[in-house]
Amino acid sequence: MNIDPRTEFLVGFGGVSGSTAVSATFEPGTDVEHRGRGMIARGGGCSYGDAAQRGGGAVVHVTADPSAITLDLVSATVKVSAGHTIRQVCQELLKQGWFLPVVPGTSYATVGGCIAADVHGKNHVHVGSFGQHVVSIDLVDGSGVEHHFSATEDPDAFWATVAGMGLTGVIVSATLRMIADKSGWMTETTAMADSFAETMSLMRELAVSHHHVAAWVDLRSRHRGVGVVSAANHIDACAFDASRKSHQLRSPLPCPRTSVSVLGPQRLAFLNAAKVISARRHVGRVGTVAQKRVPIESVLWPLDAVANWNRLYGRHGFIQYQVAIPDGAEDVLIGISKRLATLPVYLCTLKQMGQASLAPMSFPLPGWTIALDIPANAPGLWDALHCADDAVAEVGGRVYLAKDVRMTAQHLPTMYPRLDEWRQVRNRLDPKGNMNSDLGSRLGLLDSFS
Amino acid sequence: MSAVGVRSVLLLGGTSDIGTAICRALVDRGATRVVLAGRDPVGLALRAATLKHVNIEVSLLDFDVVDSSRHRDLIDRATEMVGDLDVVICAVGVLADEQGIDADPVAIARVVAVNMGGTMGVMAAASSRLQHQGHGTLVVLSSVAGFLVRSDNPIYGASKAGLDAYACALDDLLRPSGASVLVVRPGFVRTAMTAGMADRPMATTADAVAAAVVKGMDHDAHVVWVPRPVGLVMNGLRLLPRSILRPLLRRQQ
Repeated sequence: MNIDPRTEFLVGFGGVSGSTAVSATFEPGTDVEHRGRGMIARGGGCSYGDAAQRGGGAVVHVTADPSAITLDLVSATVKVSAGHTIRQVCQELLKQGWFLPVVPGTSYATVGGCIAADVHGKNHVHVGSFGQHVVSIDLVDGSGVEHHFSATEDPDAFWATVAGMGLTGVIVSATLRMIADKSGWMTETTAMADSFAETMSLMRELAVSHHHVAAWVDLRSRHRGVGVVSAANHIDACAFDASRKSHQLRSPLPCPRTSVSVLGPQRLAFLNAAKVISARRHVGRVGTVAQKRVPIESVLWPLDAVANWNRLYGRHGFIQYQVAIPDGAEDVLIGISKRLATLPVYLCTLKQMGQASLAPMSFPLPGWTIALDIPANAPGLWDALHCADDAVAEVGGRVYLAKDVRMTAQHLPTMYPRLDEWRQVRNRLDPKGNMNSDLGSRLGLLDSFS
Repeated sequence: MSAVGVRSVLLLGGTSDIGTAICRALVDRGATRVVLAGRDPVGLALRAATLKHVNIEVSLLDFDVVDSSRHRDLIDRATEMVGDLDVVICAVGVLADEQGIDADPVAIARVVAVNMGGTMGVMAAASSRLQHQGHGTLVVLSSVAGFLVRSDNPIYGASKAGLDAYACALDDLLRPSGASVLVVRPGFVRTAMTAGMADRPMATTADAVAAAVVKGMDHDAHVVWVPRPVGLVMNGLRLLPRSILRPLLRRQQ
């Protein structure tokens, strides 16, 4: 088979719904070839869905030289390229005793991607989303014009780019706030609860004294409903034994490519049971807690320990269904998880979320977020997710666009009520509609609201 | 493209049993927008009713496969309705009134115009769209009859043979763009088209064909045989010398 050397097949992290695009290099001020189908920037390819691909169009690969990270210790900010991965940035920052205030669940996402999706961490309830710690953004808009935005210089464009899914232009670089972290270690507290509702109240309790809180809930094995809550704090410099070397990030284990899923329903149940049992062994009974000192990456990026773990789902890939549910609608959250528990869900994670950011298209809202990993060929999956969408939209919740590969445009204005406002700013930055992605065309994100 | 990512489907030959069965299977796998294109508005509406479901949009388009001048327009209109076409199913086809050497030349021309000439035109129009999109699958319903043309249905068989050959070559043209063609070669399928005919060996159903198509898409296959053993038998037969093969094909009458 002779593949056009300039085109490449791109697919999201979930391995579902790929498409072929021209890979374009991008220089500000020049017109990128996009064959009338639009172009989109792609960073680490960590978006689960079709946000960073454009079938028949152009994809700009954004990478960066790892050395080009400049710290400004006076203002406690760091200037990075959009193509730097969170891992590269954190590695550099840790060397000098700093860290980022918000990091996503994978360290392989790029800064540009984190801004474009306005990602959140396990500490959202305390510090908000990634975009809330961005000082300024340099962007080349859809017409090739360079801009410098911040919360004070053209704030509308700044907040349209944050969570703008890359549709306002190509992010070139950004200045981010840093926090002090002399050790690179954390204290992790693990606790268990017997049911979904108890897990949530346990998380609320632990969030009072812990910075990072997330829970994993078993929806699969005979321990169904058991939640394992992990809560962690950075170890501050005084408490840390100065004679010990500060921790540096470890490289991940490789994972082979498999064409069939190694995560069959029975194995999923077994893995879930194994996780519950190992947590029990560690924690003891429900109601007690266990504490230990762990490297920062095993708390913040546990899945990064194995590179390309998404391959375990085989060629069908998987869907990560992540939704946010506002406070007060916890019963809907529990209802959805119960309904979807009839499917082979391996990973079900739960996080509490705090104040929403100013970005119109930002995902987090005060309440909860649940993420479920489900093999994409699970029977009945699509219907179940459509029903879940209805329930989420009804209570004012939303589906996370960075994870989505399947939602229909119908719920979009309900889930993202400030869509129209965002579209207006986006149209100003890219009046010709040169930017587009498979996600954008699937959900009609660019369409003017009529 | 794996069947999992399919959201929009265009069915050419919207009243086809096999075509609608494939649509149903894709809807089960997450397709939400279906366009049925065909000549008979009542038939299309009835088919649409069987697909209608919560969250599924079904639209209808008027389409006559022999009206080649409107094929490009048809694809454009389908695109306007549902956006990018993830799957285009080409399920157009008629049986011939097979009368051996006495067949009516006009009837032969008509069968070839529908099964091959017209279908090739609409396939080309769809392919250019898929290539432009950089993704998508063109599912072409060929037939076992087109793989080895028997003397009991030479007209139908020859028209499908031409279609099959074109589809295979089109696949080579499309692959570099990210789109692809899936050639489906079913054996005898019990459908409205074959109603009243006696079952042949290894007869199958429209739903079985649909399941095989979805599986073929998942595996990014070039060709699917339904049922699978038919492929082995046919490929095996094709290896035989002509002096053994042709009498065998005659005997199947």
